[in-house]
Amino acid sequence: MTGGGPVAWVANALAVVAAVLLFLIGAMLTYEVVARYFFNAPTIWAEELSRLFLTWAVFLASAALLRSNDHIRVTVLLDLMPRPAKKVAHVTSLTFVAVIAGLVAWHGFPTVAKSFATGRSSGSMLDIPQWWSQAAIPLCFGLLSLQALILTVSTVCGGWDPFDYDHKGDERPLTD
Amino acid sequence: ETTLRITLQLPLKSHLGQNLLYFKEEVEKISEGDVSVEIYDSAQLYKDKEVPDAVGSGQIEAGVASLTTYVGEIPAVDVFYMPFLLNSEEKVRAAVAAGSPVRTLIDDAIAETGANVLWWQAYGTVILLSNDAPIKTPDEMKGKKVRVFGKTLGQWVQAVGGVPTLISGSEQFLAYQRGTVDVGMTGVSGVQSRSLWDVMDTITRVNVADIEFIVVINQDYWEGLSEQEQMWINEAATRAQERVRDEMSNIEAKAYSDAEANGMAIYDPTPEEIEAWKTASQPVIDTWLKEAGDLGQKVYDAAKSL
Amino acid sequence: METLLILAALFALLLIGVPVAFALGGLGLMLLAFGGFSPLMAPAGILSSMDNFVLVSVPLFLLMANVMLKGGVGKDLFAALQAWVGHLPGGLAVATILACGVFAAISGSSVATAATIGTVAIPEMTKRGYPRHFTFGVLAAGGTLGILIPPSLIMIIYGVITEESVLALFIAGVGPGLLMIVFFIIYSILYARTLPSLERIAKATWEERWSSGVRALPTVALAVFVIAGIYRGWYTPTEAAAIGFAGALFVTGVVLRTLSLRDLWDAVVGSMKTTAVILLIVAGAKVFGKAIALYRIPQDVSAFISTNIDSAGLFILVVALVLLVMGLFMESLSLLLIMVPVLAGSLMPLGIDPIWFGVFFVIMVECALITPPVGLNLYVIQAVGKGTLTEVARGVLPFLALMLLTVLVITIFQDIVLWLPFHL
Ligand code: NA
Ligand code: NA
Repeated sequence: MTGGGPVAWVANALAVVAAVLLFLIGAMLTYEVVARYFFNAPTIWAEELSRLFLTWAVFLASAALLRSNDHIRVTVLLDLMPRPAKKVAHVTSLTFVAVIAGLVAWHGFPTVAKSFATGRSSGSMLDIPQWWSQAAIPLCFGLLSLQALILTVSTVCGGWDPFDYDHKGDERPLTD
Repeated sequence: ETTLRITLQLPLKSHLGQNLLYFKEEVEKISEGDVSVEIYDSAQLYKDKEVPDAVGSGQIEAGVASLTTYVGEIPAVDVFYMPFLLNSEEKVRAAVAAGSPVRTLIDDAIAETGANVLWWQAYGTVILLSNDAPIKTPDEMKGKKVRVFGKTLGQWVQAVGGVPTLISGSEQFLAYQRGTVDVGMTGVSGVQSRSLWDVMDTITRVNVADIEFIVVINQDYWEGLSEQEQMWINEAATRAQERVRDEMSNIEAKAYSDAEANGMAIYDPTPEEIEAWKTASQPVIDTWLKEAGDLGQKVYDAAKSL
Repeated sequence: METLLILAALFALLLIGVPVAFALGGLGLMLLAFGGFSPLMAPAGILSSMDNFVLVSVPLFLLMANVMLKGGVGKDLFAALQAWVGHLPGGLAVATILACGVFAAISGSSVATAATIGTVAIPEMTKRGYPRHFTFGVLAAGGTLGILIPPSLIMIIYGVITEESVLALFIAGVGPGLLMIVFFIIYSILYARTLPSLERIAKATWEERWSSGVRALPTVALAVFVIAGIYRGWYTPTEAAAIGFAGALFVTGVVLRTLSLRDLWDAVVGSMKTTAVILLIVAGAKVFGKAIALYRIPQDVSAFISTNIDSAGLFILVVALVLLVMGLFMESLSLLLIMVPVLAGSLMPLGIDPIWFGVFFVIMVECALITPPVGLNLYVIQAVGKGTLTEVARGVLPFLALMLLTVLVITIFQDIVLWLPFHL
């Protein structure tokens, strides 16, 4: 996952952050079990922070996964298409992703702004500010939209080959 | 013709769902079909804690939220969770009656978030669950892991010597069954709906706090309604509030008798034991008063004088 | 009519190659906009879909399986089973199926199970004269045990949608999982007898059996520890996944000493990718789900079912047929996320147990995973075994029939599913 300009670089760096967050979730919850079972001292943070970390990890990773073609898609029809038609389909679907992600980011922003202004908190034991999780939406979907836009342009100009998606074998993320 | 959509986390068959259904029938009857109500139950649209934002920002016209979901913005709402403050049905009824100082102060604060309160739904009081013996005094809480569902009750468990442990509603049964926690905490209707008598054998009717739900409606939407429509809705809301309060005592009585029929013992702490609880709980009230500011002090005084 | 239009739009988006997550979420957003509903529901739904403690177990079970995989556990398992049963008629196929079953007990994913065992078993089986299509069929189908035998990502997500106990679902999968293994084994032995050219493997010595068995033992112990710990109340099902991850690090890093830091990092990155890919679809489906609820489609479907279908048996038959057809073209996770909310409302009136239905649904998802043209397990085995889609598809046919037979058996004898969760 190298090359591709500053947006790709940021996306990849964020994917690394996402991986670290998941590792930390494992560490926190293991600690929670040990602390509760052996020391009768459950934490007030493990449950809530692990949900927060999961939220961020999933959305942080999304842009990089778009570039590496890891998102699950149906390729039956694409496989049958001649190359030019494939390219049209691909540009269309990337544009769709760019628009949708952009709209999600746009509509996600007011909620964050409001939570930030009012200081609204989760009201749970840990009582963290709500914008800590809400901010993931405009930031990550904004980046996703930008990444999709760049990939659209570079598909049109031929700088990025979108056709290496099929049957990646071991490279494919092992879903369900 | 106007459509009012209401989101509800609980299933339609819950007593809050049935109360919404009653409201729907009343509104549609009074308005002769001019105002129609659609209920989206079982969290199809929103979970409980998302309702304040969803209604406040106008994503949906109305919703049912537990009062404490507003605590992140309005700490004062947890006056209902202040240990042993509103620990009888009469006090609660007086506190939530339309025009009561407690309710008016809270309704006004919620109005600042962009939502008007239509009516308050009773959910019952907080009880403790245990195995083998009741939790008579704070002594029986010492060092025990207690299931909690929120900040204030968590602080209370800590203040009386227990170890607060966050367990979600759906993991409750398993956590009691397998002993992940020692002491349970819920409303008595939760005992019934989740068959908790299969895994716990004692209820301590400690009545430490009162659980309230509120039905809120988006302010802009409300102001866009005609005066006639507002009247119809208010009329039905008033009827629904009366009905759910009257029903709640029956529901709780039924839940307790079902619990007993399923082999649970029910324990009511003596006045001396309640005093011991109150003394141990005082730090929670002190901390909360500091956080909840002026409004907190006002609702607290109002509640205390009931 | 509206329903058909929405389905057509969804298929159109999927077929031009829009990633599933964005097809669902994007169509949901468009439906909200066209219906005059607030578009703020989309970001709110996406955020709320992740804010669920049960879902936290998804990355953790993936971490557990990926660490074990990088630690070479698949090879150890297969070697041990080969030493114990490989010499019997059809023994290698039996060892492969059993290895899939055991690896399934630490992996929540079908594709991971197929790929892990496939990598070691395919070369061995083809070398000993098993036909390629049969070999591929065994692995593509055996891999699907990954979501039937606990832990199971599909069951976790089913539990999240229906608010059913994930532990009960896990335990309910054990009976049908064992039944399916037995069916697969019987078929494989019978099939092997029709192959006179099959090379028999020499019987392993007891020493070989013990030494390979000892190497495989920690894996089995970990699988048992994870489930037993939930039962003893040591940890909740979600925490169990974290313990499984920690246990996997212990087994591969300390006991077997087969995990390098590089391997660990690869496992973490792999889990991160899969987690994001799966859960982004969950998030997209949430937006889609809200939109169709506001269009009152699930409500209409429930009403349609309740007026037209009055017996549980007929309902199950119809649902099975619909899922089989949709499963040809749909990726398994979207099948679950689209269909379960629509069908869930009909279960209670018909007296169908939601835990039983979950297991039934998982087996139908397994069918979807191995039916062409869209079936992730087919793709994976094709890539691992360097075969053609046709070969794999031909090989899975008898196993598909056996899965449907399993569905029939658990429909008639529901206790195979429900006895364990209600009696443990
Ligand atoms: Na599994
Ligand atoms: Na398929």
